[in-house]
Amino acid sequence: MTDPVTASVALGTPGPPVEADTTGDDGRPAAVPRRPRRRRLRLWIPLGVIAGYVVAGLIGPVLARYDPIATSVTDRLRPPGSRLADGSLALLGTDQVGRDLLPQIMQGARVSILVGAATLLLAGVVGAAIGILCGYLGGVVDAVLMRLADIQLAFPSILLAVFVAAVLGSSVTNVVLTLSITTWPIFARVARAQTLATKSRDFANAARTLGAGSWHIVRHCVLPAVASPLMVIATVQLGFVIVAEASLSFLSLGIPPGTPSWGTTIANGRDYLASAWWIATIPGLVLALFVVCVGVLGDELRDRSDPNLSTR
Amino acid sequence: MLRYALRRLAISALVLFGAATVVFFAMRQVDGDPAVNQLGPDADPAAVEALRREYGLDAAPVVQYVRFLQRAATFDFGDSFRLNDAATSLVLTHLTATAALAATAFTIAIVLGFALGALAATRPNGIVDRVVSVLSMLTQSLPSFWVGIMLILVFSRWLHLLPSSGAGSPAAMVMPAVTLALPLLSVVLRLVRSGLLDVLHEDYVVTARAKGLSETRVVGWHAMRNMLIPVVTVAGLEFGSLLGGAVIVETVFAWPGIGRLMTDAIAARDYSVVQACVITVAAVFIVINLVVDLLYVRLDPRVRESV
Amino acid sequence: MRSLTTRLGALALVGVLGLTACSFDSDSTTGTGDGAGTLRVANPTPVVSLNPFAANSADQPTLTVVQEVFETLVVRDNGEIAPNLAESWTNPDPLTWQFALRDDVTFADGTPLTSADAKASLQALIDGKGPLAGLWATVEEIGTPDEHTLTIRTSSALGTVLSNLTLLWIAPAAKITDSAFFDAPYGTGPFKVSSFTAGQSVELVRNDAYRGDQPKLATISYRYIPEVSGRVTALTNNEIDVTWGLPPDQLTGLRGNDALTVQSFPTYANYYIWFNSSREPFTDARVRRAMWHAVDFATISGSLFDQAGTPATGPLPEAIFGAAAQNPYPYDPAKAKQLLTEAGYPNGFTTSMMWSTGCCTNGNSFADAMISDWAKVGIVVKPEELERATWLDKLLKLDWNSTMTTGSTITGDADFTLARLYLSTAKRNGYTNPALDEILLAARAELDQDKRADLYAQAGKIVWDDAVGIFPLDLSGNVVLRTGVNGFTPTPNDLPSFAGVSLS
Repeated sequence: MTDPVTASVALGTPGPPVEADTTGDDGRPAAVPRRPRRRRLRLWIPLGVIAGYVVAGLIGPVLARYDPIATSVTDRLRPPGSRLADGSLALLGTDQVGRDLLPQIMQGARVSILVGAATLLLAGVVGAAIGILCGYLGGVVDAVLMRLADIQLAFPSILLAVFVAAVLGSSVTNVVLTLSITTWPIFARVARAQTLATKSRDFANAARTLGAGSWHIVRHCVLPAVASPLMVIATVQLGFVIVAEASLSFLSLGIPPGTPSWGTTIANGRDYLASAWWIATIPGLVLALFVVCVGVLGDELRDRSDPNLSTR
Repeated sequence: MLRYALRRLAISALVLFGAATVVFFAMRQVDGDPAVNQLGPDADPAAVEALRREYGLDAAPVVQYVRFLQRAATFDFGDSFRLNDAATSLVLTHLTATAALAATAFTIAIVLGFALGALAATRPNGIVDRVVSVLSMLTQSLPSFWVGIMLILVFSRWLHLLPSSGAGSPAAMVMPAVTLALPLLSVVLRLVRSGLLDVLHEDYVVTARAKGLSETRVVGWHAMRNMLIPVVTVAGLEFGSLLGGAVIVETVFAWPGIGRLMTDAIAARDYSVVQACVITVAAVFIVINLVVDLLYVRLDPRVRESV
Repeated sequence: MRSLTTRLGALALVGVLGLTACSFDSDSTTGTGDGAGTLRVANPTPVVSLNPFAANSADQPTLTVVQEVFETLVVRDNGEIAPNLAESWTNPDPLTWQFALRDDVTFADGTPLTSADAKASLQALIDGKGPLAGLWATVEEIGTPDEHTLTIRTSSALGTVLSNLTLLWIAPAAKITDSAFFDAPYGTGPFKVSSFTAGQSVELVRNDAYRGDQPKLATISYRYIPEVSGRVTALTNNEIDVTWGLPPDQLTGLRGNDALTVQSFPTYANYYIWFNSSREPFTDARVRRAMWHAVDFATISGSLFDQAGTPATGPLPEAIFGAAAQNPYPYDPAKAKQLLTEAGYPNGFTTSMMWSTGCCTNGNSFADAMISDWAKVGIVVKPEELERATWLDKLLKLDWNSTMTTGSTITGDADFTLARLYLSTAKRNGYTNPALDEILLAARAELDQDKRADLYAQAGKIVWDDAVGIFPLDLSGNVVLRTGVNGFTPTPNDLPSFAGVSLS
C-alpha cells in the first residue's frame, strides 16, 4: 500500500505549516479549467455509487436472508449464474463451502465500510484532539506527542499494521484499533498544522484580546478551521483504510473467520484460482470500484474545500 | 543547514530507540512461548526450560532489555530461534531481496510514470489523458494483493508466461515488481503530468521558445530536466513505503523478502528476528526520509529559508 | 511538443517491455536445461533444520530430507518391521534389546559404521530433548559390547523399541555433537547435503559411497513454495517436477492434466476435533456424542475432500499398527437433539472451536461446514482461527472448548498417538479414564506384538465410544509428479522419498 498522505506527512519535522500544502500528490493542473458539469459529475457519481454500497451493505444481507454460518457443501464452487440445490440463483456463483457470493459480498460491504468508518472516527477524533493540543499548547506536550507520531511514521504503515495486528490478535475490534493506531498521526499532523495557522490569525487574536478562554478559542476559532480539512483527509483515507483492512484480512491478521469481509473472501478464493476464479476476482472488483469512487470523491472534495490542501 | 541535519539525526536516533523499546516489550506481550512453539506440544518441560535459557528468556524482562540494547548497539540481535542463523544476517539477506524488488519496482514506476505522464500532458483532457487518469486512479486504488492474484491468474495460469512465485530467475521478478510499482506509478505520472503542464508556461520555457529553440529542445531539455529532480525526490520518499508495501507482494508471490521474514518471525515468536527486522526497517526508512528531506531543503529555497 | 513527448513515452514503454521480455527468455533456458538427473521438488512447508535429533526430530519437512541422507536400524515395510542397518535383534531379557549391525556400511566420508555411531545417535536424540525424546524415556543404558553390536536396556519393558527405531537416524558419532555438521550433513543414505538455506532450499547430491543401488538421480533440489497456487503453477509450467500437500480441489483439476500424475495413498494421518472434557458442557459424554451425530460427515467429506480422505473407522488410521475398526456414528440430528436434551441442553448451547492457521487440509472450509451443521441443532460454535503459537499456548493450558487439528502417528505405532495424547497424565484434552490408562501402559510394556495390537484395539474403542473427540476422516497423502518422473513409491508416513526415482 503506498499511501501518499502518510508518506508526505512523514516528510518532516514539525516544521512550518507548509506541510499541509504538500499533503497530496494530485497534480491536477490549475492551468486547465474544468467544466462545471464534469465537476458536478465527479461529485455525484462517486457519491451515488458509495450510497449504493451503503444501501447494499445495510439491507442486502437482510433481503437475501443471508446467513454467513449456513453452508451447503454440495453447492460449492458453482460458477456465476448457477442454480443451487434449493432452487435459488447464485448470480455471482458460490464459494468453497457453497455460500452464495452475492449476499456474502454485500455482507462484506457492511463489514468493510463499518470498519473503515469506525477506524476513521476513532483515528480522526484522537488524532484531531492530539493535533489541536499540540498545536495549541506547543512546548513539551507538542514535542513528546509529535515524537510519538515520528516513531510511528518511522515505520511503513502496512508493516506496522501487521505488527500491531499480530500483537493484538484478530477480531473486528482489534482491526479497528490496529488501523486507528496506524492512521491517527495523519490526522494529528493536519490538525496541528491547521491549529498553528489559525491560532495566530487575527480573529483568534481578537477573541483573545476580548478575554476569551482557551476552550472558547479552540471551539470557535480552531475547530471550525480544522474540521473541514479533516473531513477531506478522512474521505481520502477511507479508501486506504478499507484496502488496509482487506490486506490484513488477506494475511489472516484481520477480520476473523465467520465474519465475511472482502479481504477474507478474496483470501479464500486464492486457493481456487484454477477451479473457481470468481471467488477472488469478483469481490476484488467490487472493492476496487468502491475505493476508486472514494478516491475520486476525496480528490474532488479536496479541490473544492481548500485549494491549499491540493498540491499547489 | 548543518544544524538542521544534526537535529534531524538526533531525533532519528531517539525515534530508533523508541521503536526498539516498543517492539521489545510488545513482542513479549503476545501469547505463545518461543520455546514451546519451537519444540511443539510434546516437548519435555525441562527441554522447554533449557531452550528458554538458551534464548536468554529466563532472565527478568528488564535484564533482557538492557542486554538487548547493549547488543543492538553493535548491530548484534542474537540468533534466530527458528532458523539456524544470526538474526542480523537473516535480515540482511532478506532485505537485499526486498531492496532488489523495490528497486526494480521503483525503476518501472519512474520510467513508465514519465512515459505516461508525458503522453497525458501532450493533450490535456484529451482521450489519452483521460485514459491515463483513469489508469492512475486504478493503480492507486487497487489492493496490491488482489492485483498480484489477478496477474498470477492471467500470466501464469492462463497464458503460462511467467512463473507465479519464488525468486529463482529474473522472470520471477516481473510480476511482483509490477504489482509493487503500480501505486508509485500513479504518483509519478500525476506529478510528471502536472509538472510538465506547469513548466510549459514558465518564463524560462517561454524564453527558450522565444529564442527560437526547437520544441524538442524546449520540452526534452529544459522542461524534463527541471522535472526530474523533484519527481525523483518525491518518489524517493515513497521508496520507504515500497519496502513496507512489499510485505503483501512478498506473501502473494512467495518472495523471500524482509516483510515475509518479519511476518513469519512474528508468527513463530522469533523475538530476535522480529526485533532485528523492525529496527532495520525503521532505520532504512528513517535514512531515506532524512536524505529526501535534506534534498528537499537544498532544492526548495522556501523551505531552506524556513529552517 | 506533442511528437516529442509521445516519442519519449513510447521509447520508455518499449524499454520496459523489452526488459521484461529479455528476463523471461533467460528463464526459459535455465528452466528446461537441467533435466539430466536433477529432481526439482517443491515442499509445502519450509525445511528449517536438518538436525533430526533435537527440536525438529518429528518435523515432517526435516524428516523428508533427512531420510535421503541418514538411515535407520530398522524400517517399517508394509506395516511390518524389517531389518535395515541392523541385521537382526533379540531380547536376552524383557528389559534388554540387542541388535546386530551390518558390517559392510560406510558413511559418505568413507568411515565405517559402528555401534558407537548408533549409540551416539540414540544418545543425541535423548539429549536433544525434542518431541521424540519421550519415546525413549525409560532407556537406562546404551551398550556397545563390540563394534557391531548395540544393546539398549530399559528400566521397564518397552514394547515400542522397534517402532521407535524407525525414527532413529544414524549419524557419525564424531560429528553428531558439532552443530555445524547439520548445515551439510551426510550419513549412510543414498544422498548427502551439498547446500542448505534454512527456510528456503536444500540441495542433495548422490552419495557415491552408498552401499545399495546407486540412485539414478544425480541431485535433488528442494525449494519451499508456500502458496498452493504457486506450487500448482510451478508444476504446470515445468518449473518443478514434484510437490505434495495440495488441497483436494487442486488435485481434481490436476488429474485431468496429461503432463502430471497424481498419486493418492493412505497415510498415518487423520483429522480430529477434540472436546475439552474438563469443561462444561463437554464433561458429559452425551454432549460429545451429540456433537458427532449432528454433523453430516459423509456429505461434507464427499464434497470437500474428494480423494484426499476416507471416512475414519477408528481413532487411528487403518494403516497404523494397533488400529481397529469401531462402531460408526451415523448422521442423526434427531439423536443429537435427544442426547442434548438428556444432558440438559434441549436448546443447545454456545461454545467455540479453535484451530491454527494452515493446520489442516481444507481446514477453514471443514470448520465452516461443521459449524453450519451444529447450528442446525442449536449449538452455536464460534470459529477461532489462531496463529500456531497462540493455539499451542491455549492448547497446552487447556484454555479452550474444542479444537480441530490433524495429526500423524509418525512411528506407525498406536502407542505414539494413544499413549502420548490420551493418558490422564498427558493432560491434553481434559479426559481422564483410569481404565484407559491401564490398558495403554500395559500395551507399552508388552513385548508380544500381537497382544499389543489387541490392547490398542480396546483402548481405541474407549476413546471412540466416549467421544473424547470426533474422528471424521483419515487423510490420504497426495504426491503430484510431472510425467517423466518414474519409480516413485509412496509411503504411509507421508514423507515422500525419491531414492528410487528416475527421470526420463
